[in-house]
Amino acid sequence: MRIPLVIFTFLASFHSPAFAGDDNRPNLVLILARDLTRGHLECYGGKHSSPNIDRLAKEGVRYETAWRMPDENLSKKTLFSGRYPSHHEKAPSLSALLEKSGYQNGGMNIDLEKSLSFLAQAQGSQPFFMIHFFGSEGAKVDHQVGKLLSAIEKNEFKKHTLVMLTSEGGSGKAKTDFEVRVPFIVRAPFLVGQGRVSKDLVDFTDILPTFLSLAKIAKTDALKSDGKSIVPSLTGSDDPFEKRNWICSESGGFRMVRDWQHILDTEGNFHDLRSDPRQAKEVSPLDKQAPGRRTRLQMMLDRFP
Amino acid sequence: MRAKEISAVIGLFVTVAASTSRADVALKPFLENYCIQCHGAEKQKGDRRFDLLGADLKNHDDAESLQEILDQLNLGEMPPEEEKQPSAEELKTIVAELTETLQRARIAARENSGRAVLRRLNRAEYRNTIRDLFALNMVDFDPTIGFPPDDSVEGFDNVGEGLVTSDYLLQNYLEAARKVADKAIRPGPRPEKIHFISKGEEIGGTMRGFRSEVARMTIKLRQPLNLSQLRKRGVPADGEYVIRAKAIAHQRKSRYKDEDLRYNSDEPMRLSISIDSRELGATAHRTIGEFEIRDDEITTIEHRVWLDRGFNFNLHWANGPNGSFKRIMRKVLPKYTEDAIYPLRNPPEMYIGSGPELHVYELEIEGPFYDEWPPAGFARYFPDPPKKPDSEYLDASLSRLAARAFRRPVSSAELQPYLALANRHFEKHKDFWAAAKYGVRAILASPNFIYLAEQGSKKLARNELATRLSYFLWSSMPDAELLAASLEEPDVLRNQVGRMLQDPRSSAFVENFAGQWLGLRKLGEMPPDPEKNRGYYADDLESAMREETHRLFRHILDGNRSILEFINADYTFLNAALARHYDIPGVDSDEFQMVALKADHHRGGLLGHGSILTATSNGIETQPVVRGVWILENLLGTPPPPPPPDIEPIEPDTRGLNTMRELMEKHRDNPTCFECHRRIDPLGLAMENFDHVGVWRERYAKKSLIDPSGKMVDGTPIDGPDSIRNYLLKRTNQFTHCLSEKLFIYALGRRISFTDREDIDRIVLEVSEQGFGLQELIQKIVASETFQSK
Repeated sequence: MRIPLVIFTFLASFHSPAFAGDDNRPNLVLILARDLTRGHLECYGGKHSSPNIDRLAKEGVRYETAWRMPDENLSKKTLFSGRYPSHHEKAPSLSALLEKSGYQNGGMNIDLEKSLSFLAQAQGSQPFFMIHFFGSEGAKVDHQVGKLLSAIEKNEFKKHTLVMLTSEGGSGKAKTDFEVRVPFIVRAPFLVGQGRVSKDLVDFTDILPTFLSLAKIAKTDALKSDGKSIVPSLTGSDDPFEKRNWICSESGGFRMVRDWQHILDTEGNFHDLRSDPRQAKEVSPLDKQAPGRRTRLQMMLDRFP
Repeated sequence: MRAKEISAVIGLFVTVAASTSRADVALKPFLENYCIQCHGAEKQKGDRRFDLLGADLKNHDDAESLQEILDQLNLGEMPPEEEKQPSAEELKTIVAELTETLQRARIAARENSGRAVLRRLNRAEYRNTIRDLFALNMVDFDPTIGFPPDDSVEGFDNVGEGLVTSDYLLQNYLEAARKVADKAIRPGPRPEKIHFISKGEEIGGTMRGFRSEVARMTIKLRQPLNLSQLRKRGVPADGEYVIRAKAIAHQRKSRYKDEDLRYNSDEPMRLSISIDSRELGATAHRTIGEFEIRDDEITTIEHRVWLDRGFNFNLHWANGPNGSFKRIMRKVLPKYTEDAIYPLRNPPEMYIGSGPELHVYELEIEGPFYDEWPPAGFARYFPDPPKKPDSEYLDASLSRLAARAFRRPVSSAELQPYLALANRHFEKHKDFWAAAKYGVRAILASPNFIYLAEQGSKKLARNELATRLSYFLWSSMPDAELLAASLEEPDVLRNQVGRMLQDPRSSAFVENFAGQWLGLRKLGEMPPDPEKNRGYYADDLESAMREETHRLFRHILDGNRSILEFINADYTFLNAALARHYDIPGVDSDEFQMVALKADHHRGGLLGHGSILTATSNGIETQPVVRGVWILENLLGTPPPPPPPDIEPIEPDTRGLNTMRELMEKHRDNPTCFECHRRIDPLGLAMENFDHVGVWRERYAKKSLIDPSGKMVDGTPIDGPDSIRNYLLKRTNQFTHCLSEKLFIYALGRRISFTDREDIDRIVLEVSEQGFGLQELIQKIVASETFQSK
């Protein structure tokens, strides 16, 4: 499938006096591949060969349970605001916040050459952030990701650069776990933990808090996100209180939440994802644990307005 | 081996000779004037009746009664103060008369004696004897496990009279002999070594979705960790093993408050190792070691331990969170995260890792290791077995064993049946070692082994004296040195007693004698309510209390210190937990240490020991009557008779409307009760400041003030434990007499007879003049004619 490339470009770059000079905050590179599924990637057990993304996973942390929003637009809005769609109206913007704090804006590119030339000229003295959108088939994405990675690696700042790769999904409205569960790989050599596979829960509201935390931008009420920074998860912390214990995907009146095992949506569908990943069966009435888990997930659903 | 043979031996009992004495003119009128009114045909207060008592001492019981009358007169306890009193002159005459009469009776009785003491080994003695006979490690091997409990007579379970034999017990002897023979006869090659190392999830304690390289004990999961390789069968052979573990204390201080987890985050985490055996079940379970684990840094622990075949071991978090994990899930977790749901189940991923955790990375066992092979206890009787052992070697080996097992030289004629039995087995089955075991079983089932039988003349033979001595001080058989010593020489005997008391085997004396004299064995029979006395169980105060008393006894014994320190020692032995319990500051270690006591600690001497105060309570509240009786019986030596059978005991008032004192006043209303309770109750009530687990208190739970005051029968005012201590210290003779008598009963394995009184009285006098040393008291008992005669 061929998808038109869309360009978001932010050329302006401000210097925040607070971080002038010796600014050792990490560079942040986010790669979003439209409609890239787990099935496209070998490291997720997919059938296609994906050597470059597999290498990224091998050098970083690969998340087993990461959720996008039901469609691509909601995913993007959520990622930039750090809030679920029903909270979007009060959203701050990730790019603006980073720029204001002194980050160099590498742009939101769909043009690979543009991203590559930015990476080629980037200096180490000032941290940058860059978002690259891919809209091509899985095999081609892997090849192009390879080019981006080598551009980063050619430069001396590889060790100081976080690369996050995931997918915002496509145009349809997804309503199940297996549709919204996307690849989610983070390579951050300046944090500990390589080649790990994490079962920690992540969704798109967590991206903004993660970037803000790495950019050392203080949390204020205006920035209050629905998600949590995944930095503790990346460093391998055992402490569940620093991590998510449920994730959500939301569109209009429809909402679904899951924990490590069960999923529940606003239409009352409840499934045990360990034994029933395709969400085809009712949970057995003999399962004594399930009702309690369901009640807890219901509590999460009920928290939304 | 059969019951018949054993009962033949039992037939050896000798009847006690009756003693005669001339009739006495002074006794009858005295009794009629001052005693018969209460102890005659109409009334028998205290279950005593003297109107039929003849002064000619036709029988032993009469002599015992006269002895009792004499004791009461000497103590001034009878006649009671409100009754008609004899004049000083009358008293002097009758005391002299009775003393002389009894003296004559004793001489007569002794001339006719030569009573063989015949008694079987009790359970503890049997166990210890097996241990020493075969040099076996008995910590987890108990062949007496199915034996019926031994009855106590006069408070001790080694008194022959109580040590009856039943068909059931005989069956057990045969079974025990088989177990022992299997354990001790180990002719094979050295058992193969095992070496298992397990990591992470193989040990247990991991869950799906969590790091598999670490086994963890958490706020929820506190199940013990162990080696999967041992889970089914345990270790393959008896021997010494080395257990190693690598562990880390993770997040000792966490977001959770200590009181929420019932946990102390100020203490370093501790890992304990316990062992158990599937075959033996819960009785075999015990903790063998405890280790501090460093924070965030791998601590490697190593522990050597003897394990019997089939034993497995477990790791525990000794000072981890307490109480049910359900409580933590329901009541604690929701306080710390709004995402936790009350009261239903939260996914474990939500909380594993959130609190303090003990992580174990690696677990290892290696062994068995042996200092020598074949084992010493086997080689002692079966030295250098030839390739093809023959009947001659069998006879020689079994003879060596029999001489040790029977604790005396054994003639070959006497041994013949045992050897013939083994040889027949050998001929029939052609299996030498099976035959050897058969022979060993025959010897161990023999009455010569099971019974302590003294034969022949009145004076004990050397080996009989050695045996009596070793069962007194070691509760076990004599060793080679003791059997070889010239015990008839007083200096040699004295040195041997000194050596024996220094030997670790003498711990049996502390445990068995002190344990029974002071009723410590009752500790744990009515344990405090676990819900209301959490600390008692968390800190294992029961063991700590017992240890305190054992250590006091040991200290007085080892230093030949005055036995009066049992009453008023100004020191005691405490570990941190017990010191906390007693509210005595300055003890931080889990190790016991000697602690100097101040007056405001209210401790000092046995009366302040938690062990005794708890053992004389019922787990919920104090029992002043039991405490009073305890003092009369064990310190003063004047036990009251048991209550009449038709009397309802006064029920404790658990609603707390009445104080204990008000309840006890009821004893006054009934003259039958009051007879004894006027002696018991003042003592018991004076101890009321110690609660049911020995904690000092000024008030009852319902806030009413405790009144420990009272008056003894002789008019001595009494007001709290210190006044009892003073009361006892004014009666050092009586206390010394009481302890000496207890020691004599335990040493002789029989009741004290009035014929023994002369020795006891003399020893009490001598010991009082020589500083009351406990070791000296024991030396004098061993040196006495009573101890050295049948």
